[in-house]
Amino acid sequence: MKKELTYAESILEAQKYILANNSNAVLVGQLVDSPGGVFGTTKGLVDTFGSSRVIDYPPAEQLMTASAIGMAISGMKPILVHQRVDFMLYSIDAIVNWLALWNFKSGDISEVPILIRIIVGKGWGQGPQHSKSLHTWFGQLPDINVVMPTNSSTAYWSIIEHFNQSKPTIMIEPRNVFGQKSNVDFATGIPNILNQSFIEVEGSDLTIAYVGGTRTQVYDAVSQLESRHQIKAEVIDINSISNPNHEIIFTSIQKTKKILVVDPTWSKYSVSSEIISNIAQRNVGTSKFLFKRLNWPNSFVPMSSVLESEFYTQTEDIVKESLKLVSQLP
Amino acid sequence: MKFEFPPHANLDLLENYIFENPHESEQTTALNLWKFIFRLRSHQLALIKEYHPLDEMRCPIHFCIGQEAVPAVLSEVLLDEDFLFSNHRSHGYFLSKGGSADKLYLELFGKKEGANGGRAGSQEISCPQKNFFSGAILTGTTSIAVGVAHSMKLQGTKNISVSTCGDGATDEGAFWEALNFSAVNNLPILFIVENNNFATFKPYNERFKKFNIAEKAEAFGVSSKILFGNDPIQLHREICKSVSSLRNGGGPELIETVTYRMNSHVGPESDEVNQYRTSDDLNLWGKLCPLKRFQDLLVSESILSREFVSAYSEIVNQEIMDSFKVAREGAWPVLSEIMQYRNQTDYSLNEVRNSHLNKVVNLDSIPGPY
Repeated sequence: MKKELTYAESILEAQKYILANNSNAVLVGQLVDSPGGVFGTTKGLVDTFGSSRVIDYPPAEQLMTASAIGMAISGMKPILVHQRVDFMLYSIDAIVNWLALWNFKSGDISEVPILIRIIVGKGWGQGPQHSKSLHTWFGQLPDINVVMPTNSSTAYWSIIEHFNQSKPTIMIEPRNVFGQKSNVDFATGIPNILNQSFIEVEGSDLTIAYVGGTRTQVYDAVSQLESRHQIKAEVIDINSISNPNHEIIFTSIQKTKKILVVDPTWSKYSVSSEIISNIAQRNVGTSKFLFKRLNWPNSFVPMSSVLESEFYTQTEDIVKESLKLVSQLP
Repeated sequence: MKFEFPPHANLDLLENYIFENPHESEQTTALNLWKFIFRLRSHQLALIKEYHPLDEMRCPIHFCIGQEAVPAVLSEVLLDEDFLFSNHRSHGYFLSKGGSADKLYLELFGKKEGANGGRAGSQEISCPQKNFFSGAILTGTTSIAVGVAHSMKLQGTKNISVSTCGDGATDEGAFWEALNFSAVNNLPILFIVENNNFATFKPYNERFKKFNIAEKAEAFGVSSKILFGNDPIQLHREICKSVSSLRNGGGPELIETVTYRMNSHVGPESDEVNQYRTSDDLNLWGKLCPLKRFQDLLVSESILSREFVSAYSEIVNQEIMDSFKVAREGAWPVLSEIMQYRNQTDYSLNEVRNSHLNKVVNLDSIPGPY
């Protein structure tokens, strides 16, 4: 049973399903009970489930994430929503010093089944304090599932899968894909999303592995590469930040010999660094590969629209770098 | 008792404090409170005494000599289903929620059968089975305690969440966020702030403009009181009142207890070298000891006999000896087993720590604290 949903709608559907089928599940966060919902993702839920299941939080992020953790250790299953990564940095203590190590320091006994949804801003001059992604930081933490779904299907199933296992999950959502539509198949049963990467398109000329909202530019580029340059890229959605599937990426580059990693954040110590170093580690032998990364400049997202355009990786950048890679010999 | 200005500057008030007599109906409680305080004090002294010659409790320990009254009262008042949170000065609270001495010692020694498998040590110890959790980062547990209270309210139970901390935690912003949110949502949470005048070495009057934590908490809408922190009977009466109100939806409460830490901030050694307090202070508070003063009172009221003290002392000493034995003989945890269980497939072991072969770790190669 398939349905075409936008990314935002699929998150709404998944939360509705969870709230309906788990009496101890609650949705908490700033303005989750507002009529428009958090960018549409919580719209109408308070009307369906009431204000003791859909709970507004004040802008006191240091307390609120910790409080949601407290709910999770005492019999509830909270979904906590943070509208902007930049603002929820008051919660870093709660996430790094309490959530991540809680189960470990209890001796594997006390679990924290919390889902934290964090939204990454992009565009319309939001500027340097509304645009950071920081998936690198969260992805490094042991014992938390960190996933960055790029499409409606993985967004939907990440939420469902979270409630079917016991580790805490941080789901990072790129705002710029919220309006994108794709099919969600409700009949598949819970797939493995939180700890998986996906080969979305098969190809042989190069591998393009991408993170998050760059999906839009990647697919525009892939279609240009095919139609104008007869280049078939193999496209991999990295998807899991905490546990990317390095095996499928390695298998891919063994075939194509060339990889372009598109990761929308600073290049230093990033997921793109991790992908490439894992290829290097697995490459025991004489295979020669070519690597290229597309990341942010070593600065901050500026407000001015012209600067913003130059700052972010655009379709043309991906096409240009792909052509370069394909034309080189490893 | 009306405290003003920095509570610890109220010398006349403190010097002349008279501990409350238990009523007849409180005699059993009084005995239980004394037993807890005596037992906790004995354990702390034994751990302090053995810490250095043994050098086998290889973690920072924050002892609580002088601050035993509140944990004693909570041990009488709280149910298993209630949650209790503390900071790094955790031993009293661990025992008060029902954690065993064996599990405590095993954890301090870093053994596999410790309360948390040797993962947490003293300052992060927990007893999840009894809903007790601790942690060193100030207001971390306070904020989590709020969420637990929120849970309890939503689930409609009569259980409560108790957050204990020191005056140092009230330097942190999140403390006040916690009070405010609890008040707005009428949460069943009791905040106990043990004001022992110091955040490590910095005195209270150098860190605050407004000196009365209870008064500040009232301003946020949390019903609050300030009490002398070493009088078990008075504390028991007041905490019972608060807990009863909380269980019946009376809204969050805060109790500021004025007390004193007789040992150094951390470890068994004295920290006089930091020159942050005088021997006069220590003498004054020595006379306000929750064990000695309370014991004298109970003996003079014939609630406690010297024979009983002797007999109980033997029981406690035996428990201490047994706990040391269990802890010394306990097996070490194995990192590779932990990692395997937690699915860390890429972890590579340092060849010196050859856990696969169950070799005893060479303790000399592991650096000591700081």
